[in-house]
Amino acid sequence: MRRGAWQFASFRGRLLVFVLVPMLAVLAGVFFSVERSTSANTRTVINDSLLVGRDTLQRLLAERRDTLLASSALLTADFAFRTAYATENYATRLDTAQNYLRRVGIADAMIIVSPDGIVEVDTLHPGRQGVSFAWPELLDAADQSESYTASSVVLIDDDAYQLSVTPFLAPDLKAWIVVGRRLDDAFVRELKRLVRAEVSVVRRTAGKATVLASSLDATHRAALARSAANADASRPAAGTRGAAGTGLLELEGAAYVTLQEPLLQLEGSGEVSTVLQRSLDQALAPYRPLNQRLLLLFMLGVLVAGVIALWLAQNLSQPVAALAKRVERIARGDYAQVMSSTRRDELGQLAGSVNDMARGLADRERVRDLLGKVVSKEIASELLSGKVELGGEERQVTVLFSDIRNFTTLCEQLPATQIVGLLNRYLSRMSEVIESQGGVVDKYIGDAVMALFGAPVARADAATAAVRAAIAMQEALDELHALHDAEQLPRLATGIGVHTGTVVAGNLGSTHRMNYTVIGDAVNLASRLQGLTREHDSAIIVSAATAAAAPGFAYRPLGEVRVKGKSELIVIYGL
Amino acid sequence: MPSRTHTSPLPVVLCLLAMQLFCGALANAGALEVTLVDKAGKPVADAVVEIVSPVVPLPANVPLTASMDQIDKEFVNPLLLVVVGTRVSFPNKDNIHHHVYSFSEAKTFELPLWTGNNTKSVLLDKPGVVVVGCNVHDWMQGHIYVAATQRMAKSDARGKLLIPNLPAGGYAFRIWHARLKASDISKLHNVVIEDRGNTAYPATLELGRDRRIRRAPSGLARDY
Repeated sequence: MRRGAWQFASFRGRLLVFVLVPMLAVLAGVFFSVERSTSANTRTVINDSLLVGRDTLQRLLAERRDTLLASSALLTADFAFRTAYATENYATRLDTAQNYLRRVGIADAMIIVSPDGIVEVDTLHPGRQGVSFAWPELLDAADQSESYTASSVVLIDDDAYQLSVTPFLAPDLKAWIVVGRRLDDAFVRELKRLVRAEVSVVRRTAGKATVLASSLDATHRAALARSAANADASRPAAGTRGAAGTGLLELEGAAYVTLQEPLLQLEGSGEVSTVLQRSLDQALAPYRPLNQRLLLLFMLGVLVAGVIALWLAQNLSQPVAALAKRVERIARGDYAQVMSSTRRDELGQLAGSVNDMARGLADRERVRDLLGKVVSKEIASELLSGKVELGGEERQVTVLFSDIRNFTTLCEQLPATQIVGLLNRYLSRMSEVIESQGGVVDKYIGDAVMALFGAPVARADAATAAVRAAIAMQEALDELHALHDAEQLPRLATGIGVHTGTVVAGNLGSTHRMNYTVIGDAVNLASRLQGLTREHDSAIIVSAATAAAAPGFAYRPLGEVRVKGKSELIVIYGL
Repeated sequence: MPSRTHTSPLPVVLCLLAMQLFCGALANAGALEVTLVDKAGKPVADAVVEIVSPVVPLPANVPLTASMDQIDKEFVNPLLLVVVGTRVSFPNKDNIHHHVYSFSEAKTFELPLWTGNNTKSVLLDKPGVVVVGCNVHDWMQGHIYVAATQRMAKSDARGKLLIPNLPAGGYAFRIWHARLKASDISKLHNVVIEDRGNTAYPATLELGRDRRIRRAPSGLARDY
């Protein structure tokens, strides 16, 4: 039963596993591929928007440059400015430059540089003059360019400035007018408004990063500075590099897709760059409800599949278990019919078949019982085994003959019914003893019993078993004496003859009615020996052949006898 | 030079007369012939050579007036060579206003918007180069070379110039060009003039960029 329970559980478990594992695998695959593709798609969208942002940054810088150039071109064409500059008075020149800044309102600094590269006026550092202009290459670039102008991003006192250079021609070159606009928070805010991304201007020099301007709040600025400082020296603040120059950067636990655009290469490995960032989490936010719904749907699917699998398992395993129990009962010999299943599927057919089988087995068992009563169990099983055919074989067997003495006289003394009862009890008892010793009752001949040892099943100790059975029969008879005494019935006296010899054993008779029995001289001799018991006054007489085959008993030699129908003398023993 | 073996008597006589006159007035005189090319070997026009040593006083008959006309928003003769003390006028031949000015060290002046003939002339009383512009038309640029002496000349389209009537001997001169570096301008060139014939002086100039605002076709768009 325990084993059955385990199997039941196992079947249900197995079915659950077979249904749920592939389903979970498929669902997980679907979920993760959806997740991956939305994530990848979002990355692509952000990447594209950052690339557009980079173009916008370039465009914005170009526009600011053009504005600066246009305003300084207008300034240098102004005769008042020309006149003021011509005064060669420092205070007047500085004042004019500051006036210009006030008027145009878009520039934060003006530096006037002589044609040979000496600073004449610097509004960021009033009083500073006569020093070399810090970016002579900018002047060279302007000098070489078709438009006489140049523009660049530079660092002035830890601030990033966009500088534009125009020549001051009156009408020959009097000076270079350098106008600067700071890339400050207002600039990054304007850029953020245009590109919808966080914008920062970051300066990075060996192992150190400073956020010069940013649309991020103070905490995120600090985080950006830290991660930029830790990033690869050649590409600060880039994070892991992705497609199209973007990377993922983590700030305060949130992932940002980051695009870095260099503005200025500093001496050594440092640089100033614009960092455009968009929050990946924010961009993914619209997809989150979809993912949740998907997950819920999947969980529901798994639940439903699990329930169905369980129901299926139950539905299959319950009748199977019932059938198993049924078969187990059948094995124990309980063929009681059970209401056949109403199912029409294979299980229903199986239940029907089991019912048929039980019916068949019951029939067979009945036949076997009946047969066992008519013939010995061994012969019955030999018959039931299906090898029923006429024919015989020579076998060495021991034949035992037992007969009640004076049975005819007894029959005359007692009523017939009492005789039948007495005889049946006697035969039953004797048969039991014979069978308990491994013998087979071949047939009853009136009050006589013919038993075989060594047939149909051959055995080596057939003679010994026969002798033992003869002794046991005598002892059983003693027990019967007590019963007879109590019932005031006459005691029974029996004679037993035992002989061992060759016989022909087999099914004898006609094709429709046959008997398993033995025939031959040995049978006759055993019968004759039984007949000799009265005259030798010995309850049991065995032949020399039996005594030789079953040594170890207290045989009394009774001499030689000539048996009817036999030419030679037979040595016999009493017991 | 005309050939002495010429058979026609009249030209020979005229020629001899001319030689007589020339040689009689400036006995033993030679000339300085300067050929100027740039780094690429191309002839440099509009360069000025002025002999600064030895200095000779200006002759009395030197004309002391000159003009720089403006036609079609350009200076007609953008490189004018004058001697110190010359009065230069700026006649406006356009029907629009011009505003001629200069912030040069040699002369700072301003002739605010005017049309037609301006009676006011500008006296250039210091040697040097006066760069003249128009405040209305940025591309207009003129140079007035104010020399201390009359011994000067400007190069032609072939890059050649000739300063005649130089007695044999050693001279020092300067070369000026609008696109020449200041250090090159202040450089003295020494030469020994032969008593007859032209003394050739080839020179290669390193010119800077032509820094001037180009005239925009429409007058509206900036040139970049």
